[in-house]
Amino acid sequence: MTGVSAIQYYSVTIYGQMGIAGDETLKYQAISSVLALVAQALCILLIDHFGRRWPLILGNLGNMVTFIISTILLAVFPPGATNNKSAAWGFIAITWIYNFCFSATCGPLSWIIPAEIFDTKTRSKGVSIATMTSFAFNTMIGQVTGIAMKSVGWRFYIVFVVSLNESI
Amino acid sequence: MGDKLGRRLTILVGALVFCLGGALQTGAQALSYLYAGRLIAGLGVGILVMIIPVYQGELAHPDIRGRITALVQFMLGIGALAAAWISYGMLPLYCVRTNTQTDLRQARISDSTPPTTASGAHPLESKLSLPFSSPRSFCSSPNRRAGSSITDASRKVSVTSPSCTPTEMSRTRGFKLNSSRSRTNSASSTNTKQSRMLSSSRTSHVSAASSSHALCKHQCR
Repeated sequence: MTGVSAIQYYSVTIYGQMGIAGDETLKYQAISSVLALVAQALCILLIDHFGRRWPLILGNLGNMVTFIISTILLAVFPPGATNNKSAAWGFIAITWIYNFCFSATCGPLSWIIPAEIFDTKTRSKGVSIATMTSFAFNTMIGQVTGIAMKSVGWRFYIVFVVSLNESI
Repeated sequence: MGDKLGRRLTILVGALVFCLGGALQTGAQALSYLYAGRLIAGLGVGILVMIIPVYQGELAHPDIRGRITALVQFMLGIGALAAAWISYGMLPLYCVRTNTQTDLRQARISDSTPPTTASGAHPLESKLSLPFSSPRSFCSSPNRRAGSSITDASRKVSVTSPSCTPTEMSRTRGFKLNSSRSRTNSASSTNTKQSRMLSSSRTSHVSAASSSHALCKHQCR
């Protein structure tokens, strides 16, 4: 429920609605994936120094802040209605920062934590359930976002802001 | 399964299931292959992503456990990276082939209507009539229509059919891979079938790349 599926699946569409050409949107998405990889490499280097708790808290905080900003951007400059280049760039930059934050913290930690918190007896089942829940929500968000962005627009992002707030 | 079979055997089973699904998708001859392959690959991925963090977490020394387990996400990131850049690189090709604007969604939606080739035949027919097609050619991926229409166009070029209009010719000429294909055409201008086969195998690489994009997209959350 961190909204990463919404960002990763639909950012290309939203970029497109903001008036960016198709190949450009794909380019920004591709740059975003480079940033994500850098963030994941950083996480691999640093996660054992900082433990699990604070990276997760700070990462969720970063995700929430970036999500609030992108919600405001979507609300004030609705895609398709205005042709504000700066707003589009702001949204792109915020998406990148979000992806960086997520990939440096929540992304890897969502694999690490389930594998570590269970004891040997329950670990296999526990991790299955954790993974299943994660994928179930991913599927749900992947299916719902397209519809929701069409009907309620930026308000849909509030869902993620709230859920990130709770996860902090 | 993770407890009964043990971690390594479960990983082996997951990898095998995923290989089967991946092979089905790679060798798809129709859209149904893609669906079925995706389903099976999804099962395999489900097994793998569940058992691998467990295995890593159990094996690794606590000092580097986080590092090792984070590799899962790192590899997903590599997949996403490849997917994003491949799809970015393939977009110009895709747009030239479908002769659409650079709006991916529009192109995908317009693909759902049954396309007809320049000769008026349904592309599936022209595809199925091939004596042999590369196992990697996708019949129903978004590039399907593009692939077959190019095949069709190149056939027309090679036999210089009178119905081939100048615009069609120029469209084929403007295409990136054209240099290699026109060589193919001139080399085997008498052998229409061969040139069709070659160009169809060429288009299949594009389709494979674009579907690998879809595959990877699904895998990284």
